[in-house]
Amino acid sequence: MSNPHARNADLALLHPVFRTKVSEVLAALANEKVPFKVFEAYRYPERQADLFAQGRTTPGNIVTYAEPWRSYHQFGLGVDFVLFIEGKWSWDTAGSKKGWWKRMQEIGRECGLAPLDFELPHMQLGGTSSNALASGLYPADGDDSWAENLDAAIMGWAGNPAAPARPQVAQRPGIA
Amino acid sequence: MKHRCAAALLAWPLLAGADSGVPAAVATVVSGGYWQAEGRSGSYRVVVALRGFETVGSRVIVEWVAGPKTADDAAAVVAAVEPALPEGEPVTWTANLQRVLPGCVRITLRGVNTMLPSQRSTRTVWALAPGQIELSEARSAKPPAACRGAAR
Repeated sequence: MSNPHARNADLALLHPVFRTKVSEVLAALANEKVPFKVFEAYRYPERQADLFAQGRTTPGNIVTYAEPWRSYHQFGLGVDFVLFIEGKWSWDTAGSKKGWWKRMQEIGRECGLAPLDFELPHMQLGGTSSNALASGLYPADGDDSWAENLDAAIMGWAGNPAAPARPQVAQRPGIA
Repeated sequence: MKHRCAAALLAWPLLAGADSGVPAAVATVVSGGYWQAEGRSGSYRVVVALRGFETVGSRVIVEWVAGPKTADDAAAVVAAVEPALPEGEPVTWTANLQRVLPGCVRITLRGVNTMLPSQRSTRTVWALAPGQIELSEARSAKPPAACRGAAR
């Protein structure tokens, strides 16, 4: 498991159904020369706790309302697409860039991803809910890469709120 | 134990929800200055409201608030404008309002990108007659011509 407090953009840790859709979005955007990259993919609960603490029990502004295990990032089902221009991340929405953000969300929707209101960068897998995920109800067809990482995150978490159920082996694809 | 139960009962109405009339998303409000237009007058108000869930950002709304004209009247927002800040959504802004001249205030906005806190920015918004704003780059200290004209 990589540093659980650091930002992580490794698509291999995403649920494979979601990973495929994210890759499709990236390919479609690249095809249209719209310069988005994945800024953050899997987020460990430790980092979510760090973010949640900010502006509450640690210095800074509030940056999230999502506690650990309340963010789709903790389940490998959420990513943040951000413009990457000349080696720099950009959230710029001025001029033509406004259209790029709109196009990213359009393509995301076409590929089966769901945006959140007032959060341009964030896209997540549709058809599930925070409550279902917190109850351990995960999308089917998870693979080893996703399940092993999620399992390690669950087993390594001793904070509050409590971790959800471990992913079931039966949810993984069978051995060919 | 008795004390604990009493405390819980006292706290319950607050936790159950209370409507002060101020939207819960409102984080900060600053107000000041003075404007006059079409027989009405009042002050400027800048409302910063939070939005989002996974990533919090803020909206900045400049409002022109007219005071009541009689004891039976109520203060009212006669115009409201949300400046198009190019930094995008995941930015939390703090606002500072400074009276420059009658009919013109300078609003200094300082923003922090909540996804990449090393990205910070400062914008200046000039609020003029009701519904009119001018957005300036960075710390522009010089009032725009429309601001200087507003005092005449």
